[in-house]
Amino acid sequence: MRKGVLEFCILSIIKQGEVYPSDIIEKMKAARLNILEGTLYPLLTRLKNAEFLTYRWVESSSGPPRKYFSLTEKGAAFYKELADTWNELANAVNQLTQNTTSNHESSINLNQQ
Amino acid sequence: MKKIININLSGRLIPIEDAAYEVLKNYLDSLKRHFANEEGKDEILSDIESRIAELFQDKLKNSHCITEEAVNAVIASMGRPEQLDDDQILEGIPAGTAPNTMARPRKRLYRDPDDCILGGVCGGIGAYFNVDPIVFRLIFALLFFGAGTGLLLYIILWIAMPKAITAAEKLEMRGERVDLNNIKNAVKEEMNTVKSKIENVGQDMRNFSQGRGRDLARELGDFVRDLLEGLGRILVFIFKGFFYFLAAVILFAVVVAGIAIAASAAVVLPLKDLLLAGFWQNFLFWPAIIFLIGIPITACLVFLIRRLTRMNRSNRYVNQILISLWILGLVSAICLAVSVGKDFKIAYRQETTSLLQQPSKGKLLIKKAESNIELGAVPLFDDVLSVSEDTATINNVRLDIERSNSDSFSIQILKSAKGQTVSKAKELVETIEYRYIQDDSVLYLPSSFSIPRNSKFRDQKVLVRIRVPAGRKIEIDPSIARHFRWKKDWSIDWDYDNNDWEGGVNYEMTDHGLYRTDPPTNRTELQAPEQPAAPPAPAPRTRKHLHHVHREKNDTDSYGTESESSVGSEGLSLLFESLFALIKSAL
Repeated sequence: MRKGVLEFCILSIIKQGEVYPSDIIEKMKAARLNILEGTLYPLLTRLKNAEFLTYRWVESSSGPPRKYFSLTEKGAAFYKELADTWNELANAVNQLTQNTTSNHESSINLNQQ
Repeated sequence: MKKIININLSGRLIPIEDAAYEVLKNYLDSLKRHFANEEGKDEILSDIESRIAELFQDKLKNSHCITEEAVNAVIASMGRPEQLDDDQILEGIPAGTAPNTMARPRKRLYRDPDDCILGGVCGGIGAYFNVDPIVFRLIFALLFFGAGTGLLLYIILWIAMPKAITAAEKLEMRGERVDLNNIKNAVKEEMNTVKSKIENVGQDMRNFSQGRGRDLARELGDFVRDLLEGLGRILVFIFKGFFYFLAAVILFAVVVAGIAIAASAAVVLPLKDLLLAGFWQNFLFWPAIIFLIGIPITACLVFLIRRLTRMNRSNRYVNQILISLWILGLVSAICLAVSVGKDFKIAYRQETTSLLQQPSKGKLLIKKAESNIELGAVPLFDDVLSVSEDTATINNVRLDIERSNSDSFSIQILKSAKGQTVSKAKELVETIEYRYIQDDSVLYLPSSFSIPRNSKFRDQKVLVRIRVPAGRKIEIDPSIARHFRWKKDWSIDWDYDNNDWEGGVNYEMTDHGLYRTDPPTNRTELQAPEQPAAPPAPAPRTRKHLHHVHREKNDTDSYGTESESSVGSEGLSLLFESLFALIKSAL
């Protein structure tokens, strides 16, 4: 579950354009979603092995070439699936949490009366 | 002062402090172990390495080399292997803080080599329960005096508990979390104890030399203490030596037994063909033998090798597999025993009576015929069974002598065998080949009979019953007395009993049984020489024996079912007998 969420996040970052792993970390940090870099690399490799991602080497000004990742067609389909699931889940969670709060409030109201 | 070395990390030149390099190397090694089972681990590792190199390069913009601190900062942002488990991926662990959510450290039972008197068992138990090991030592010591159970238990525990060798294992033993820091601490602690020990020794020596002239009493006390310590060490040494000696003896025995078993395969195979009939029995035979005998031998060997090489890593799966295979072997053996036992269920007996040529002097001499066992035949079961290429010879012939109703000598041959059904037993009986030769007054009896090689051994027996008319004499050659199993009672039991008659002595048949006409050598139970003309009442045993014989005399062709209870046990005892014979021939 959580793993799916992390993958979803990473895929959505990559979907916005070719990125380099450090960029992913930066973007996630910017969104206050801290992950350990050590978890990112295995995940990227797994996604790449599942043919959701592809990469190319890009020369960098400061040292050896870097891997820039981009989404494959298969990856885009997978992303869509994940997005649907996420939306469903988010809706469900929202609905449930809102309902309980309103129930809670009404019961408090009843008590006050 | 710090040493700085240059390393090549993912194609970049990084100057790094020696100590920092050690930390980095440990970290990368731990990652390597963590991802060992991951597909594409090399790629992951090289990605991580190049990322670390990149971070270092950023760092190097402000400083001239990578310090331990910098390495730790990088490790914190990358995450330690134990933080990289899938469950903790999105725990939101902020980089740089030590995780407090780690699962409680797993405790394991190890033998403690640092706190040991014999094998460190008590020390390990003490560490496990966080109790002073002396408590367990006392318990074991007390149990030792309780019929030695303590010793046995200790040996078993010694076998079962692995020794904590590495720092990680020692931490597991004490129940601390295993990570690099703790390992380092443990090593440091160890170094410190060693250091302090050395310092203590130095102190002691200084004290000793200083106090030499001053304090004689203390010196004496030290001397006594040293003496006691020395004695204790010798005792421990003797104990250890004893255990290793025991291990060596077991190893030697196992190796010898293994060689012997391999060598005795030639003996086992003919036996197998003789004993086992049908597909299932042959099918069950190999797992039964290999697993039932092979597994304990393998286990012994594995244990000894582990002990001797001091490699105590026992693989749980291997043990489980070994145990299940052994149980499989046991089940096969039981099935086999039951199946073979069934083949011994029904006994069938065939009797043929024929007249003997009447000896001219009125006395019959019974001699053993030349052995019909072929040269090169493999003897089994104390020579009871000999197997050659085309026949199996069974040395299971008994001789019985009784009074003839007519006035002529006659011979009755009873062949018997067992089988699952009457017809099967009968088939086996018909394959028994037993031939005697008579030369006037001498009757030559072979001491064994043969069955075809492809036949099965199903308790085939032959009883030769010589009927002697009253007033005639008979002599049994000592060769027969030695080689035949003399029979006491055919129908009740088949035990060895040659007390009734002696070889090389003349006997005369009377109306009441056999009486020796020669003076007895040392037995006085027969009074015939004193009153040869009018024989007195026979000894009770002889009469009883005759009674049985007469009762069965008229049978010509009979069979019977043995009682149910003896069926399985007979098969089992047969199996055990063959095992014993195997071990005997092996040793």
